[in-house]
Amino acid sequence: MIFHSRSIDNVTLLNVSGRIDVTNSSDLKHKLGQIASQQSTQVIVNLSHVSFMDSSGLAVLIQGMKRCREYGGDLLLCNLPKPVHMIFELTRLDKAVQIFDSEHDAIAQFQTQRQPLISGLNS
Amino acid sequence: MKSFLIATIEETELSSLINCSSAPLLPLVDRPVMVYTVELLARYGIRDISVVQPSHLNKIEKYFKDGKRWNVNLTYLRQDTSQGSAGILKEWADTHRESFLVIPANCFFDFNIDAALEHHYRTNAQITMIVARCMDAEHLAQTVQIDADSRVVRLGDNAHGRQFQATGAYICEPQVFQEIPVEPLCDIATQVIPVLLAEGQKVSGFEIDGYWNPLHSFPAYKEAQEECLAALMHLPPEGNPSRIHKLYADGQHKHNGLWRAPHSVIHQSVRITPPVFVGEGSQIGPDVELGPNVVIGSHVVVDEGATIRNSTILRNTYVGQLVELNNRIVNKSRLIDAETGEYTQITDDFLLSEASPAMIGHRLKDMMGRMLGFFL
Repeated sequence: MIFHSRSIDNVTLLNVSGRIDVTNSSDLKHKLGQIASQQSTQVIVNLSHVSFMDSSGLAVLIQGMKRCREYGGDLLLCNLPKPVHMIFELTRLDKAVQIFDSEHDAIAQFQTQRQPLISGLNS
Repeated sequence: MKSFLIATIEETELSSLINCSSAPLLPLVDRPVMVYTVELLARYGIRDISVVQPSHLNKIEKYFKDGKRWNVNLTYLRQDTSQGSAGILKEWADTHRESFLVIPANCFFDFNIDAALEHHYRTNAQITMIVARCMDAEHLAQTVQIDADSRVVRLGDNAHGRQFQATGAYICEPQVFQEIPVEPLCDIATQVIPVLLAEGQKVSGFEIDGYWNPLHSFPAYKEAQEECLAALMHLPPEGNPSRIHKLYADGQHKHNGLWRAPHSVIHQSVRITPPVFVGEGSQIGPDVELGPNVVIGSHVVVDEGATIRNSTILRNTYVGQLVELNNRIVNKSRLIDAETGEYTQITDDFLLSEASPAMIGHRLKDMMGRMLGFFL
């Protein structure tokens, strides 16, 4: 599994490549832990280059999302290949986590979430 | 009348993905597609059927045996690699005088064979091509142009005239094959008919009045399953009357749009949206939602709280608790998109796996439940 992360406008984008299964899901857990330790609670995980995921991968992502939400943020997913998307649908987790077609759409979601907050501060 | 079922197409993308050993054994509502053709022939009194199969495979023979179960007499011919589809027919035609029927065994056919034969004799054709309205010319092999007198005037695309799709089924006069040179042994569609047309001999086209499906793609397979379900339960698919005249299956039709095969166990709390077929020996657990357009194969276990819509679950598959399937084909641990054929292998056997009857009721409120509960 290969990671590449970058930040855009207080959002951390994490690109993951390869298989996510029981043999390496702890690596993803560690990576999400690192991001959390940097006080980043708005995270987008791009799964476009993930060829396979099992329940351990799903569990790590859900755990990461739960932690982000506890601190007022969120973890969004984007660019899911069809086979990976099918696993989310199979387990009904597509209803628990927000999934977007592109990074752009996911970033826009964070921006719209912030908007009411900014409006509230200005008033 | 003699009939040949051409079963030499061993595998298609579809059959290989669902681990079906041979394209004519592709399951449609839990029975091999070739069964429906054998039953169609039997209904029209055609009981002398030869199955042409690859010389190195006998899976079809193992399934159908001598055909007595369908009240027909099945014999098997081995197709050498040196022969085209017409080659083995020529061997038979050299010693016979009566017309014969040729049908590809890997496609679904339901049509009025008596009407096709009447058309063949009335038009005094050497070969009658059984054709269908063009539905997906891009993916299908051969289009046929037919004139107002039902005469085939040319093969291939042509913007003028009535366009049809060759189904691969023919009614043939044996002398056509007697006149074919022995070398190279050839294919009916690509070699015999063009020669006949070039010689000005009469090739007729008979448009199928029932239903034909080449089962060449995932959408075609899905459509065929839905047509068969509708025909079995006399339900109109998407508001149109079923194009299939008659269909048989073991078991019985319940009033709520459920076809239930023998020895299946369905919990009283299961919610059914018709049409739904549940195969022999299958077990459906509590609070499961099934339908519409669901085919559960034989010896499948669907565990508590699962939801299945517009999907086919192939035999001996376990579907885990709370799992949701919509527009899928599932073959044990293989999860396939029913529209595109994209697939993934599920390695968590509590989600999808090979079934064993002891599974139901013994599953833990397991990892998935905990994972969902953890978040929700």
